[in-house]
Order: sequence, then structure tokens, then C-alpha cells
Amino acid sequence: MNNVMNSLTQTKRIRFGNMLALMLVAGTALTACKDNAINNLSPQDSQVFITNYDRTANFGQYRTFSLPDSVLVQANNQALTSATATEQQFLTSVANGLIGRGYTRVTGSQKPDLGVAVIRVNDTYTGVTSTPYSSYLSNSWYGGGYGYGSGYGGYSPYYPSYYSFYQVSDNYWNVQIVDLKNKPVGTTAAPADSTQLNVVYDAEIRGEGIFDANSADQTVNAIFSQSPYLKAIQ
Amino acid sequence: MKKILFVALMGLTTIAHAQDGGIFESEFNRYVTYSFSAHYALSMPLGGQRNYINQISPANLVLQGEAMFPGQFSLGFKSGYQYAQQRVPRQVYTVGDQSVSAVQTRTLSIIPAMLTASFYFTPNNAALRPYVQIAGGGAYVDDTRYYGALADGTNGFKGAFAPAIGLKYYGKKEKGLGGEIQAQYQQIGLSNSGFGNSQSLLISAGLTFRGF
Repeated sequence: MNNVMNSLTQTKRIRFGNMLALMLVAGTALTACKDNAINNLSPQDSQVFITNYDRTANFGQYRTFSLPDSVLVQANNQALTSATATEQQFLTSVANGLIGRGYTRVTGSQKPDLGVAVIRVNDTYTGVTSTPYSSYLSNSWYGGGYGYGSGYGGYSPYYPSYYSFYQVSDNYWNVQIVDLKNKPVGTTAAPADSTQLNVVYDAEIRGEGIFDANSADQTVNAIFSQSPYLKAIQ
Repeated sequence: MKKILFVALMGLTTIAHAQDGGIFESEFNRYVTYSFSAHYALSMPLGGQRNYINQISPANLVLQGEAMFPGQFSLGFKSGYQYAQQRVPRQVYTVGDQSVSAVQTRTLSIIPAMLTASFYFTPNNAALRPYVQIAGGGAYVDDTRYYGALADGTNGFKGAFAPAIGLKYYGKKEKGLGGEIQAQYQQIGLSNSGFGNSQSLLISAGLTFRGF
């Protein structure tokens, strides 16, 4: 009779164990859902266009703008200029977009009302993460005899942690427009060149495929189409 | 005469004992026993949540543990994992001062942690056990909105309650392993979500186990 009872209890334990295993597998599979939420985004759907502007600025007061023939490449704290075919295509698209809004492109020496900077941001961040052994596992490994309070004066064995490095890249286009028409007047104490200009418009283009030459028109049109205030004649 | 009275008394005592179960009563009805359930669930958004995610979610798990008291009541704990997701075609959103044009992927992950009280309409050892249940407590809610690949959102532990009705079926009396179906209304207080409280109906089916 006892054997039968033991056998039944064992069967119940096995069934419960199976259920627990099934629950853990199902739970793990489900919690992975969020991690995969954006895995199937197409390059075009991954693109994000972010714009912002100075609410006090009257874009109708400006008539001209200047735009350099090269883009500013900003990599972390370093900046340099570049003018590859793709970048020139992007500059052309930005210029055409502003001309389409009624502004006239002039050179820097012709006292433009607006200054336009096209910046290609290539920031990279490196981090480190560690997964140390837990003290519980360490004690188990050595039968619990070599941990704290084991008669070795509180000696605790040192186990090297596992370190892993990760690197995050942040690559995007940034278009900034500054107000040159109303730039601060310089003084002896603070010359005009050392005074910051007011950024009246800022746009970021992020996502996959944004550095392809053939995507320049589409991405630049996207930022201008969500900026209806940006026009010479209001 | 004394012998007749003694036999009659013994007979009455035995009949009375047998009627209330006595020594032949099931252990399920004599002691506090335990029950565990794991369900797969479909989640249907209700109320304001339909303005955020209006699709039925197929990725939900319900876990329950109960202390079954002799009689028809139980107290227990309920948890699990619920996940809903919806992709919204490109449109322009206002985030702070910024205008953001993006394809938005909305995700809502919920891990409930609630205490339950259930009333069963049949005894603990019955083959068929319909019940009503009320659950209250909280839920960890992660509301992440992806703009393209950029994530924004909130998370935190919020108050929640969840009345439910269900049915456990074990095939025969005293059996440990059975099946269970449950319908649960769930409401979670989300004041800053933009769509009000999270409301949903979970229809679930799965396995249940009862034992000592």
C-alpha cells in the first residue's frame, strides 16, 4: 500500500515538474516578444524624422540662405568637413528644399539671412558590463566550506568577473538653420564672433538607408513636409 | 434490552458519520490542499486601451497557485505575462516641442501580481469545478513605444483588479491533473498612459493540478 502511495506521489511530482518546466519555457518565450518587436521593420519604416523650431521666429522675415559645399562630419568630439558624392547629393536636396519654400541661395559673403549647416553625426559609445559570480554559486562550488565564517578568518575566495564590452553607434543626419539676420551685435567684452547664434530650426534624420545617395530627396522632403512654417512668404 | 439499545446507537452513529463523510471523506475535503494552474490566454483590449492597441493579443500566460480550504473556498496568488503589440503606419507625433514622423510600434507588457479569493460551486474533490474569483493587487506595466527603432515609454507598478469565472475539469473525482478554462476581466490603473486605464478580457485555457 505504501509503495502504491509513494508511486502515486512520485507520479504527481513528475507531472507537477513537467508543468513547471512547461511554464518556464512558455514564460521565457513570451518575454522575448518585446525584444523582437521591431525586428521586422523595413529600412524605410525604420526611418525617423524629428524636427523642432524656435516658436518666436518669424520665418517670413528671411529671404536668403547660405549653405556650404560640404557637410560637417561630427564624430564624438571631433569635427571635420567632407564632400563625398552622397553628401553632395544630400546638400543639393536641402538647398532645393529651401528654394522650394521661397528662399534664395546666396554665398556667405552676401550677408545671408539664414545659415544652414548639414551635419553627419557618427558618434560611437563603448561601454563595459560585468557578470560576477554570485556568492551562492561560489559557496556551492566548494561545498560551502571556504566562504565567510569557515574558520579561515572570514577569507572569501576571489573569482574574476566576466566582463563584456558593448558598442553603440549613433549615426544620423542633422540639419540646423541659424538666424544670421538678427545675430547678436558684438561688444568689446563679447565680440560678435564669440556670441552664439540662435538656432531657429533643427532636424534629425535617423534610421536605416539614410546615407544612400538615392534616399536623399525622399528623406529631405520628409523633414520639410512636416515643417509647413518654414517658408519665405507666410 | 441493553444490547438492542447499544446496537441501535452504534447503527445511528455509523449512519451519521457516513453521511458527513467521516473517515471515508476525501482528503481534498478534510485538509488544506493546493492547486496550481498554467494557462495560455488570448487578450482582447477593452475601453480606452482599444485606442492604443486594438488587436487581439495571442501572447499571454496566466499562472495561478491556490490554497484550497476544506469546503468551497480558496485563497491564492495569480501572476503571468501579457504582451500586446501593434504597428501603426507612419504619421507625425508631437513629443514635447518636437514633431516626430515615424512608424510607431506600440508594445504593452504586463506582469500581474495579485491575490485571489475563489468560491467553487462543487467540493474540492469533484471532477467538475466551476468557480468565481476576484483578484486584486498590482501589475508591473511596461509601455514602450518605438518610433522606428527609437524607444520611448514608461514603466512601473500599478494597482490592478481582475474578477474571473472559470471551470476546472479533472475527468473524475479525486484526480490530480485536469484542464481549466477561464474568462477574466482585468483593469490596471494607468493615469499617464494617454489612453486611460488598461482594460482587457483574457480568455484562457490550460492545465491545472491539485494535490497535497
